[in-house]
Amino acid sequence: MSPAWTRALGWLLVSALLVPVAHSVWVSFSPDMLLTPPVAAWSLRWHIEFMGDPQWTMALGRSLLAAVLAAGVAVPLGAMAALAPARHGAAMAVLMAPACVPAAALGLGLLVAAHAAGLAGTWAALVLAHALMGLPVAVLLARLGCAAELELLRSAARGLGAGPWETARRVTLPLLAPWLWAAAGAVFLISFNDAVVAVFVCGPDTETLPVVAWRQLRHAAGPLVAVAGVASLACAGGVAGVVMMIGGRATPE
Amino acid sequence: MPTAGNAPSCAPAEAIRLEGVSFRHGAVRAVDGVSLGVPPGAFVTILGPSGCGKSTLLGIIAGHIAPAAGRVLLAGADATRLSPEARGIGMVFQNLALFPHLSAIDNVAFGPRARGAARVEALSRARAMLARVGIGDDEAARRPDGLSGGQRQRVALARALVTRPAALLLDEPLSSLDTHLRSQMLELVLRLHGETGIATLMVTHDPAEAMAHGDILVVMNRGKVVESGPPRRLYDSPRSEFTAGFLGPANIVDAAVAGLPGSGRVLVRPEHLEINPSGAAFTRPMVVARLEYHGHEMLATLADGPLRWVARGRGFPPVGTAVVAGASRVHPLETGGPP
Amino acid sequence: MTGRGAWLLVPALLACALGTAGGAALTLRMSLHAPGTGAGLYEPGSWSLASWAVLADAHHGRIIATTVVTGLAVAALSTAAGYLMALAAAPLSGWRFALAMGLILAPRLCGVLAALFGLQRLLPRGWPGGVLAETWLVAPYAALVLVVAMRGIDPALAAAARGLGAGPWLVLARVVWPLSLPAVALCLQLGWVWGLGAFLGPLFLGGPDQATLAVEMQRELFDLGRWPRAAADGVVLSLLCLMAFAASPRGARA
Repeated sequence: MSPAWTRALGWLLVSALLVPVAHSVWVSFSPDMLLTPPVAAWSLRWHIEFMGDPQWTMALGRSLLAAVLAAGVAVPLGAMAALAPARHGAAMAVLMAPACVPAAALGLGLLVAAHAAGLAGTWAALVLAHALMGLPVAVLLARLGCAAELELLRSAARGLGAGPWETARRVTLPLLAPWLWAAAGAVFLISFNDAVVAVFVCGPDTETLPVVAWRQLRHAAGPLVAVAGVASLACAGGVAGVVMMIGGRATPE
Repeated sequence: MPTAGNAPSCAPAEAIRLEGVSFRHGAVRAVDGVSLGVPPGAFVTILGPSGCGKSTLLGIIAGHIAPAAGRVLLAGADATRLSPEARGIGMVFQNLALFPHLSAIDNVAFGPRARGAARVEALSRARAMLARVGIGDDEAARRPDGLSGGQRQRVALARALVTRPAALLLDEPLSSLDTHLRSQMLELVLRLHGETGIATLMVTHDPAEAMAHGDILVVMNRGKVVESGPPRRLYDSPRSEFTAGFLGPANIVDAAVAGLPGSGRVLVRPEHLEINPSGAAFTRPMVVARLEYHGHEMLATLADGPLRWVARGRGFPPVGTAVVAGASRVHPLETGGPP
Repeated sequence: MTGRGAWLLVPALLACALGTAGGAALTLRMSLHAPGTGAGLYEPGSWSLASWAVLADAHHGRIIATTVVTGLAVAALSTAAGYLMALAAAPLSGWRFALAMGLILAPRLCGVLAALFGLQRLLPRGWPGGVLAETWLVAPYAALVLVVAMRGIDPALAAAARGLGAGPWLVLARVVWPLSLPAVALCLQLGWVWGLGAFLGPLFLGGPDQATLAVEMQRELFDLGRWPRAAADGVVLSLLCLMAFAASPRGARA
């Protein structure tokens, strides 16, 4: 499809993308405050300090919870939207809007809206904001699952006498399941890693991990930020793995 | 009559020669030890059921697929490692693969331009080639989605031929066309073959198409070459049961069970099974079980105890009539049917 | 279109419309409040153009200019990087493809702040550092869009081109590139919009003189407590984004 040198450059860029994260992970094992990259002496001291610091561990917990809740809101909405028969371009444009607006503008708008609704700094504001961010992806993935075959099978089920809810339960949902699991995983990751909207929308009670890391990074780039990165990687990787497994087993043969 | 077997060493090099070519797709042997040759200027047809490896074979000859084993020789030279753009082979893909973003004439001019011709020269060659296949200037300016199925086919043919290839590969060129267009297209293909004299290899799953034209017919099944030779010989005197059954309706029975001369499996073509014959090789009592009307002929199913025979003719007694049937030609088969 | 089942679309549609347009409307209203007195963030119920007047000064002019140039740079760089990465990943299949896409998306999906931490240590401070960091954030998504587009190109087309005598470079230039142009246009638009909203990159790697609108917004909101001014910055940012979409009509994502 293309000359070998273009592909080599592409791979170089892929590696370049990984370097900052790899560097961060590496440095998180540094034994000293100066964060000299560990070569001879590796140390878990910063990881241990991280796990003992409630500011960080609670933030991690909040991130996980918010991400799960956001997926719980976005996936059903996205599935419903994907199942709707209308396929107007205008409807799709509105559904894709949250992804096409810069996160900072979205965050500000949501902060002002939450403030006007009296929900500034609450869990509701955070979960709804993250669900909104993930909704376009949820809709796209659910739509991928609503292929023509699904329509045929639904019609066949209705023709055989199944009512709409029974069709949904026994035909639509099982076939859509792998895509919905993928959507849940995607929304989870988007929410878990969001560092821009969260900065605007989180209050002191709902600070997620990226927000805490953000504040640390601004004032004193401490080693715990790097550890937060490792924790993020581990959680995100774990969730992605679990979702793929569940989604894979839900795939009908 | 040249065969697809080994060529004598002093004959001119075959345009295409495959030796022991194999390719696996996962656990399946898509192509399994295939050897065949296309003499210069010949028209060879590869016939076989879907999934027998015919398209893969074309991909290997054109250089898009690298064989796991075996050699590909083009005009006598080993081309197995040669890249597709260096092989000089014209190919018409099953889905035509016309560039959707280019007009018909730009599609046809693509090859000459890729090989270094100036735009003006490439366009004039393209125009001339399109005229030869019956595409005028108006249609030539349109994109593929603005052309009919038959017109797209002609453009694909022109695109493959304009580069003056050493050989032409056609992957099921007629299967996507309506029946009445097929004979037109086949006629065009054969006319161009006659005019250009380019060695042509056509792949199809339709036995009628395969037998109607061509010097050599190669029958494939499950990645292997079952039999090859002139179409007439393969129809009248096939060596294998698979070939016999695939080329047309066939009565294949155990000679002993059917009371026929010889031993082992034998072939009696329906047209050689006569009702109330005079002086046939054998005669047996049968009952007319079913009649199918095909316009120009009828197919009759005759019940003979547990056996069922198929006969063809212009007219038959009604269903239920007891008749005496005889075979005017019984052909012994050497190898078995589909695995 | 049948009405039956169309209601399914409503919740998601409402959520998106309210979240984006509603948020934008409220931001506009906020920008028209008078500045807060004392410790207040703004004067509730008031109407004033004071925050908008401030936008005309040199400080904000520089910020807007930085924002626009950052947007252009991020769009160009992320699309180019995404295209090269897509060329590498798109032809793969099976587990190799899954691994390649995982490698491309993983850094973006796992610990953005850890990556910024790394970027801060590896890249020089200043505007280029900020732009590169922001490009780093956007490129994986550009690659994703382009991979999808490239895999949508019929593989027989590349094979046909090669059979006709085109080497890999010609296949790329005459077949792949023209057919991937709509996706490239989409990447440029999205890169422009996300680049205009560049926040994390310029904040952590840019110098204090190289703030973008988003950085300024956050400063006004949380450091200075001047909500109307932050809202005015937000409105300008949204307007710039809208211009990006109006300039080249977006191809239907549907």
